[in-house]
Amino acid sequence: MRRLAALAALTALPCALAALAAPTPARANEADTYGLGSRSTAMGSAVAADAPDFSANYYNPAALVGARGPSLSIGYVHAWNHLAVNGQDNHVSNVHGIVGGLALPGTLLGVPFAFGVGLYLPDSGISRVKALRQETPRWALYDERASIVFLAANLAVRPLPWLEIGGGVAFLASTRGRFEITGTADILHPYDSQLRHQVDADLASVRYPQLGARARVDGFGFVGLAYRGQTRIKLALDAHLQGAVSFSGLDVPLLYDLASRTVNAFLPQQFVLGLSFQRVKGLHVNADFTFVDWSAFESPTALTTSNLQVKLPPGVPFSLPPNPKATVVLPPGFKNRLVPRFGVEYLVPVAGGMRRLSGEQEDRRAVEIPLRAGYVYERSPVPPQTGVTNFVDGDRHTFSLGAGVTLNAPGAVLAGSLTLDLHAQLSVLTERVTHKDNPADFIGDYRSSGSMVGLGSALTVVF
Amino acid sequence: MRLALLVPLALLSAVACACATLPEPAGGDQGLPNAGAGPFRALTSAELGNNRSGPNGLTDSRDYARDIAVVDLDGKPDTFDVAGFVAASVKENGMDPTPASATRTIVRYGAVDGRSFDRAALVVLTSDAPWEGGVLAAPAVVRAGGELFLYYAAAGGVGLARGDAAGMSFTKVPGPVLAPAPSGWEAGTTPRSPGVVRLDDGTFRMFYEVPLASGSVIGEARSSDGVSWARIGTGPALGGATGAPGTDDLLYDAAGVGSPFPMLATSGDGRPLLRVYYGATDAAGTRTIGLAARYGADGPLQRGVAPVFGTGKPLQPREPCVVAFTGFALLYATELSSTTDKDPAIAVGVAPATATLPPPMPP
Repeated sequence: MRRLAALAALTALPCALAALAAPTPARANEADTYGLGSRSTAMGSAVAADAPDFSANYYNPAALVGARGPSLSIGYVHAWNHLAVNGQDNHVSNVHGIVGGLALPGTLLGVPFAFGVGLYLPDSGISRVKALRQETPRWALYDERASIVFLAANLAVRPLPWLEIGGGVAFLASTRGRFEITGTADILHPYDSQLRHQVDADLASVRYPQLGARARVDGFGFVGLAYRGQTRIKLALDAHLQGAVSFSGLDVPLLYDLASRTVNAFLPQQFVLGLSFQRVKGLHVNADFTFVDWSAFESPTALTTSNLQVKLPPGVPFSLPPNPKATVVLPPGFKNRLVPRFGVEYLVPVAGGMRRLSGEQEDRRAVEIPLRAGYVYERSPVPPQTGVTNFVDGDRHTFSLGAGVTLNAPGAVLAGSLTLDLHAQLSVLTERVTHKDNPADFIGDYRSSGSMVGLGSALTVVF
Repeated sequence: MRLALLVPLALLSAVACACATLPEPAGGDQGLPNAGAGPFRALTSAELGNNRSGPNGLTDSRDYARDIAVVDLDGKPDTFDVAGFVAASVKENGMDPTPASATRTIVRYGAVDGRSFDRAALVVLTSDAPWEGGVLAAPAVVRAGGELFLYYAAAGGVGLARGDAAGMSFTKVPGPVLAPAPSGWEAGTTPRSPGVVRLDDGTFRMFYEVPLASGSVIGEARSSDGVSWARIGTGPALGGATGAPGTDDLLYDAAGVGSPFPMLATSGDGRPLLRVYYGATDAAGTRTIGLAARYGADGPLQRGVAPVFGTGKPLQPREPCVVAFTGFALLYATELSSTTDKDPAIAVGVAPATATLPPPMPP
């Protein structure tokens, strides 16, 4: 096992460097909305000081070095969104996909060291970006943000017996595209048209940092600090049409340029203080307080400019519409929020004899049942939508429950443990009434509310 | 070593599973709120019956009918039988009228689907009173109990004719019900292009166009019986927008507002609204249809951030009228038949733009 740890340590550094350098098209962030990993989600994601598994790749990279041994997790999560305005379900996309990752602890030059990878891979498409008009109502925090890939790679060390430090990177992909048509279009004889099409799309990576620290406090448990950087997906689309329209022998040259810029899937930077009370054997009582910098939220309104130039022959009784004015994007004015999270876990030893596990100082019963619960309150960062914009949202209460079964040292093949975790999550978005200042508003007053139900599981093997 | 193989194999399997699936359609765009107040999408030919060509639900190349006022005949928003009252020109001295001829009659067209108007019309009102000066224009119709009140613009002010519930015949009230004000901010100008709504308390409210030298504005008057009117306020209810200094905000009606059409509505949260659609003219002379509104029956009118109709093609719409049905609203406006045909036509638009209309009748 020591050779394996050393191997992991040796491979970790190049992997992390490669992750920093390569333009991998991976993105965030189901974890921000629904949680990453069945155990962490069941505990209300209050695990910044208590995430000794692959979920540390999102919640606190420093905790990776506290993993009991090399572990591999894989699971599935499905969240059903029921978000409604004026009582009508808006059919916001459900979120579902594969969750998994690695935590590989070991030693490097005598220093405890770990490498980890966390992943959420939606099974309904890699990414979605919407470009909507400014006044179009949208559930901006839930509509498309969660239906994209999350990938993070982290390193952690324990320089002092009581201190763990970690960090890494996660990724977003920025999309740039260009669509070009040149040639001649014959209106009366379409099949005689000679047009050349060229599409050029590019996925470039946008990286953002994750940092964490965790300290053991004698007689209490752990205190954790974590930082997640700000990021967003940008969609840049350019279209260029140049050529001539042929109409009954009359060639009309035209030039049309369209440029669209959209910011989507905004992830605000976050600072987390986590506490984990672990003085009672088998019991973890956790509390996290997350400062979320929502004030930096960027409007997802599409910035579109276009330019049409047509040289009409003299005497043609046709007038061209003026080029539309560029959109003036109003600042969304989101408010910073402090999000409290609470979680509890109690490990019930249920059956079997005592087993010695690798990486554990105390023997454990062969079969254990972890029971978990959590609660989160997220006050909406969206200000009252009394003006032109319509970011629909509401204060969110999230309740979660979870349970699992752990088989410790189940056989000669596995000296660690095998755990199956399940969780259920219910989020309730309280009703918000939007009254428009302007009675001539095209959207008008509305009431919004909703709920989300999430179910998930994860299978974790600790070697 | 077995572990070293197991890990990448498991991850590869996960990626393969995910990549093998097909993307789902994007969601979040169903059942979204919409005030139904606009913007209005021009109807297509497929949405019109009676051999009408979209967006024009009514064209009259003989008498150049224009300035329509539409009333839902049974007052039920889930049925579509309407009557449209338009001003029309007449043959004079044996000469056919031109698009520039003054209108001298009010004629009635029916439309069983709310938008595809009949091919034949019934003349319900002609200009025969001296104060009218031979002009009947810009009708407005409102239901008052079992009657229809038909207001119209004439040379001497705003007139009224009272008719049966189906609007088949009308009897004029003698003299103008709103004559020029000899003093005050209207400067003695003749009010024109009236729009009338009956409020929830049974009283009437009229908005009318005042053609000031600096550009037309909209005035407001009230009445308890729809016959005797008193002007409200010491200035226009709505004037052209001035915009913030140094910006071009809200300048789509900078040069003038007119041809008002008021209607009652209720916000998505139950607040009563008084909406006023109007013809807007910008500094370049481009016409569109604007919307202003207020919560409740009184107070200042606030305009919408953009025109509700007429921004697509330069067809110079004016004289709007809106009828709300279940799930959508139809806007009727007078505009040019096309960019190449200067004859007036009654264009029809629908809001919300995503609305699906019932099949046109007759097909």
